[in-house]
Amino acid sequence: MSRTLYTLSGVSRCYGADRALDCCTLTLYGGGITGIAGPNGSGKSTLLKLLAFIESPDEGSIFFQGREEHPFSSAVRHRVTLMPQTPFLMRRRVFQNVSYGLALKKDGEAVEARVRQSLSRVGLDFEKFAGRWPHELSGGESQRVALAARLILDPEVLILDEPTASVDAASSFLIKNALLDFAAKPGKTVILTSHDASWLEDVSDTVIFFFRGRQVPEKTGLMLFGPFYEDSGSGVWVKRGEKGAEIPVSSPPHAESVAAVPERCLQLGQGDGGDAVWFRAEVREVARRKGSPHAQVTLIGAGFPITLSCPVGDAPDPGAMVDVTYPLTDLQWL
Amino acid sequence: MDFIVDGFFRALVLLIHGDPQTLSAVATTLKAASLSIGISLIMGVPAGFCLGYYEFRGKKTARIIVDTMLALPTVFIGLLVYAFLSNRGPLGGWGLLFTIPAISVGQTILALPVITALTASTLDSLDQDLRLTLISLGANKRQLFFTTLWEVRYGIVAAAMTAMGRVMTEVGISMMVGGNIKWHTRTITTAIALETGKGMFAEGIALGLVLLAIALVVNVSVSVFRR
Repeated sequence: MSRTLYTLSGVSRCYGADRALDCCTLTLYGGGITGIAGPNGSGKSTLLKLLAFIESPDEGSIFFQGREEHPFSSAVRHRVTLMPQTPFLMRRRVFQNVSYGLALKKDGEAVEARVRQSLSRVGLDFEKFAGRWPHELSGGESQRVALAARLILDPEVLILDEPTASVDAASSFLIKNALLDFAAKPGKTVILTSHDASWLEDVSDTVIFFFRGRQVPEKTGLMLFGPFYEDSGSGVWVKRGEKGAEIPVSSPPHAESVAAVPERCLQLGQGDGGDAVWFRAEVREVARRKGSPHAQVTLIGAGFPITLSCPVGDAPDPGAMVDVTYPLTDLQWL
Repeated sequence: MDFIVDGFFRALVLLIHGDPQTLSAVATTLKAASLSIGISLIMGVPAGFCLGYYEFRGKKTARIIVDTMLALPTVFIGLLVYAFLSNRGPLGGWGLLFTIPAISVGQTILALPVITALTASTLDSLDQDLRLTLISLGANKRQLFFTTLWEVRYGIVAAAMTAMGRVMTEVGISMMVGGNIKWHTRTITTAIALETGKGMFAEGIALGLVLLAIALVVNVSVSVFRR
């Protein structure tokens, strides 16, 4: 990754009263695969629509390769393409759906061969699928046809919003392979989001994190939304959750503030530092990646989701009750 | 009851033998309806597209006005068009009163809100991902417009058929601005009203059967088109 591909300067995008992107300033570099992670509603999908020049920002500017660009600009029209989370296929056969972008470009050269190649890249047999209607495809097949319709355009930037959402493991594997093949070509960039953090980290060269419409410096392992309560006896501030369980926090600046603890600061067990606090949590999922010495642990504490990373040898079993600790000074108020 | 059954048999005889008066009414009806539906489609589809596809200030008000116009009584439209086209009216000099184009003007006013409102409703219910998909595949604004129209083609055809049904079955406009002149502006519906008034049930039923047959042909054509 070297050259600057996108520069977002003070970009905001609102939908009614909802501010999906809030004065976002960001630089993305060309080449390889960039993953965008963040909780639901953090502005990831909005960011992708702006990067694909589907929508214009309400405030701020988006620069693509150093030039400010807008939707329908000829400089970006056939160079950047987005695949939405829900694949939309037109009321045409698979062949016409895949070749539609070429028809828009008025590119009639070797269309059948290119459709054949694009379908094969996503693991679909031309003879079997080219003549099918969208309603004759499964969810995973539709997603792969939508991806083939983008790959055939041979864009410089391929943007994908949750490409593996609601597809089976086989389709997810084929989509991943197609993306890796595409990104390996010179001058190609893939930008994508995924709800599956381990899949995203596995496939991406770089991962950036989003929260409340802005880039945040690192991955958040625990996020707590106000209100918070001060224990009248001890004076300790806590977030109350399910069944009276509590998670200790530092003094909040406002009643409705949001507390965020970076994932790297969360550990299993009871901490022994002066400012360490801990709480009980149930292990829900333990994910291990090939070649990685760390396991990704998903827990539920006081009803709130927590993610942390720990050495594979220390990973607890799913269903176990464990203590989770973090230094209070590492809690950030957003 | 016998006169109704007798009317059906005589109607079939009139149709089989190609009764000139009946055929003249059918031809007038088709001419006026085709003209009005053609104009309504040219004006109503872009208007409905704007109303259903784009967000703009005053959209809700515009939608209420269009929906209200769906309930316009045909005699009121007839009255308005008559007032404008009569000798004393502002367009009296055009000499259109009691002609087929005059009927078409009135029928256009009747059909336009139907096509506009139904096209807008079709576009309202369109999957928002279509726009996103088309732009992401590199469509320019013109390609976006025409591809979106093509995707909602069945809805537009349904709108045209609904408008056609409303136009072909109206009496008020044809009677008031057409004048029900034999061989010239007598439509199927005005002829049915006239023949029934005269007690000539066979002619009335024959024309009613023609209306039903036209509706059948149109619907079968739409069904074939959808396939």
